[in-house]
Amino acid sequence: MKFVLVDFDISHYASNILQVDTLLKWDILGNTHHLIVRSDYGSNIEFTEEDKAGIEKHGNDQILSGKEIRYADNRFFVFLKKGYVNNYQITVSPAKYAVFCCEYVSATDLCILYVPNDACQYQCDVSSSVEVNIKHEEVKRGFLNRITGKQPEREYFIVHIPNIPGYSDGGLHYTFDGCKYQYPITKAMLGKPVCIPAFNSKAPRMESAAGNGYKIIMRQ
Amino acid sequence: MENVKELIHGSIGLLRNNSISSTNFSRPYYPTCVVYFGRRSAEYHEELLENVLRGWGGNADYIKFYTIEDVDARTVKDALSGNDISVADVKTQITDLLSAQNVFADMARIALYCIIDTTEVASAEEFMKWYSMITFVKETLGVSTLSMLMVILNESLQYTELAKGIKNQIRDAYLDESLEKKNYHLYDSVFIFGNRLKNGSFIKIGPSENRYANYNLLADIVLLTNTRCDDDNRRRAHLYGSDKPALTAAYGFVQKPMAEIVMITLSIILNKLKELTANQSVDADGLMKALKIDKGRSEVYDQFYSVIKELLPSNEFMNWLPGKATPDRTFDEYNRASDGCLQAFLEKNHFEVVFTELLNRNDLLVKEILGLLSKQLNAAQLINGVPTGVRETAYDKAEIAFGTPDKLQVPTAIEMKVKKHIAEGLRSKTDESLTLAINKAEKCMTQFKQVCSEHERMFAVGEEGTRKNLTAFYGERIQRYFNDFSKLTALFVSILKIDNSKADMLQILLKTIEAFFSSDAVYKLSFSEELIARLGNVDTEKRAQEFIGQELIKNLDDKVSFYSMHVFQPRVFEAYLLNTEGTNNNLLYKYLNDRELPPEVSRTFFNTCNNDMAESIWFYVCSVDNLSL
Repeated sequence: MKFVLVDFDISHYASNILQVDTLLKWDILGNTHHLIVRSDYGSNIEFTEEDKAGIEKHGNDQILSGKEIRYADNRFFVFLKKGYVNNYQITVSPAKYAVFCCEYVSATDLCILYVPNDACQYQCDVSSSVEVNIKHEEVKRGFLNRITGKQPEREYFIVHIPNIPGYSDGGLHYTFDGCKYQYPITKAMLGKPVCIPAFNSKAPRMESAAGNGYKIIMRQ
Repeated sequence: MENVKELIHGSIGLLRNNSISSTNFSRPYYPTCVVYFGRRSAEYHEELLENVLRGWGGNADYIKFYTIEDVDARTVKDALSGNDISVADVKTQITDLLSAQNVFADMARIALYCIIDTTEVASAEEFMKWYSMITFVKETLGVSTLSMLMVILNESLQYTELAKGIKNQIRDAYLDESLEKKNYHLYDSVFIFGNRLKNGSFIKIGPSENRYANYNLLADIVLLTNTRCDDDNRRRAHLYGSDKPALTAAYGFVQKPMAEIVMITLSIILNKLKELTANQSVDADGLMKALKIDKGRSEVYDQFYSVIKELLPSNEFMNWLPGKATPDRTFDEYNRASDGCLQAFLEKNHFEVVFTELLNRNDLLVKEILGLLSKQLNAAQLINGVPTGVRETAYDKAEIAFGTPDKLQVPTAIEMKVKKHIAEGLRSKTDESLTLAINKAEKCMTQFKQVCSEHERMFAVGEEGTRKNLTAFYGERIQRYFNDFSKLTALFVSILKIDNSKADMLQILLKTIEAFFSSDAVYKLSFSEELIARLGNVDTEKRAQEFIGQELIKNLDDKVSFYSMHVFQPRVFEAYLLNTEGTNNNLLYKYLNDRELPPEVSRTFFNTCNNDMAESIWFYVCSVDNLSL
């Protein structure tokens, strides 16, 4: 398949993309197909000659498969046939998604892609909610300690962060009120209980690195 | 110093055997004023002043030097500063000059010397305008003068017509009946020195040639005509007289061949250096030495670490890492226990500090590393570049000490990891510094080659026979000096420092030549001692001095600085400028003084107290016929 890039017009465009729960929805006119491109959260997607070349490298069996295909560093595309509704199930978050209006003629194997300008809302960031559970570690005091009344040396909190698809180390970190350090959360710390020492008896506070699209919901 | 010419001039100064004490300086008879006619004539100033200084010492400070650059505009400039000066200011300066006490024997008039080089004179008519300038000069000075016009006549073949025209103009000016006084000049004396000798051969006279050829004739005439001595009246009687159509002279000298000695010395030094420049390269050991990498440790890395250490998180951060491990375990174990949070923490904090500080201190670091490279590596080594393999070997060796920190205890491992990260970051800075060093090396080598080629161009001019004799005598000495290879290596390293400019190189060469000259007494010999030492076949002192005396007057009659088809009258006056003090000099003086003279010729001696050379000047009158043909 070859792509021909053409400026959008009032009868060929895609716009008003928005996130509704786990779906993306948009308005589109004058298309036979939708091209959806995914990239990093907070990035800007513009369809350039490089994108065109990246996609054209793939055979029609891949392009028309309706699956997400990686065509560059942190860039994925999916080419969907026009249906009754214009929506797409979000696969990965946090991420940036963009949609393009396409007219594909199979006889010539040519696809006209209408390139939007900044006025079109053709791309949006999709954030990801992360539910973090924190609870104080229950201390089982030994017999001797119970008799002597001696306190255990350290306090710990048990933190549980669920698995996050596409997560990379440092996307989240924890810190404490009054502590100057930020501890990166590694991939290995996800999906299992992690034991974190208290800071002056204070529980750790989860934070996401600025602008990476994670929304943290704390459960204690 | 800007060029090799200046280096040679400076080196010649080191060979001088002059120890004139202030009591030996002669004193001027009249207050003195020199006026240069035209820009080219003014270029003789430096050399003239230097040579007069040798005779008069500090008394030369009283001489006033002016330049008139344009024959029509007649603007007067101070020849020393080059600034315009008003007629009123000239008068003020002359008044000051005439207020000097106990310097001059007679202040009734001023000895005025007007100097003109005809090379840039457009026509014979323009020359006459210059000739007539004396009226303006006299008005400007406002005092009575004893004036002399010194004409440096360019008779090179392309100037033949002009030279002939000028000679004829001088003749016509002399014969001019409109001046009422027939056979009389506007000057008290007119001297002509041509670059074509009586015998038809040419000599080089010019502002730049004089500086290196010891052509002191102009200054000698100032000294001879205006120095207080027993026979000063007699000298003036011979050298002045506006009733003479013109005067000229034959000039001879015997000197220590200082320029040649310097040229030969320099030639051998530069050749030795050039030989060393071949096959120079940088190997891993050399690079490590330059970067101060020793036993797997690098000073630069350590230094950077100590600077940024304070900015790194303290080890207390480990208290709140996930997991329950204790820091007495290895880094690897602790990291695993913390689910990789320890390593991630380092990357986000420690390595970030390293990254930021590498960025902040980029210029400083590059400069610091460049400084290390400049100290150890010379331009000839760097000019061929430093292969990647050599760089990698050096860098790798610098990182050996960091080993595998994962197996070390946590605090030590953190330090090692940070240092290793610094080392990795500094590789690119070192590469950057090497590129800068190589660029500098290229510039430095260009400068060095320029010095060599300038010298070669100058060395190409030289008399083969004399040079052969001198090379045998002096070349061997410099060769022997550099048999001590460490001396040559030290010079090589210092001259090819990549920061060196051409001026730095010339300065280093001058210092080397100075050290070399002072290592051998032969370089401090007087001109006669030098000649005896070099010729080696003169058995007695008396005969040596006689030999010098003969050299001084040999064929002098053919060396009259004036070309004429008409026959010359015999010389009228002989002058010898030499050091008349000391036993050896007395012998020379005696030899010259004892020579029989034709009855119409008289002679004088001028004590120069100068052991570097002896000069002979024979004076001739140019007849009207000489000026015509």
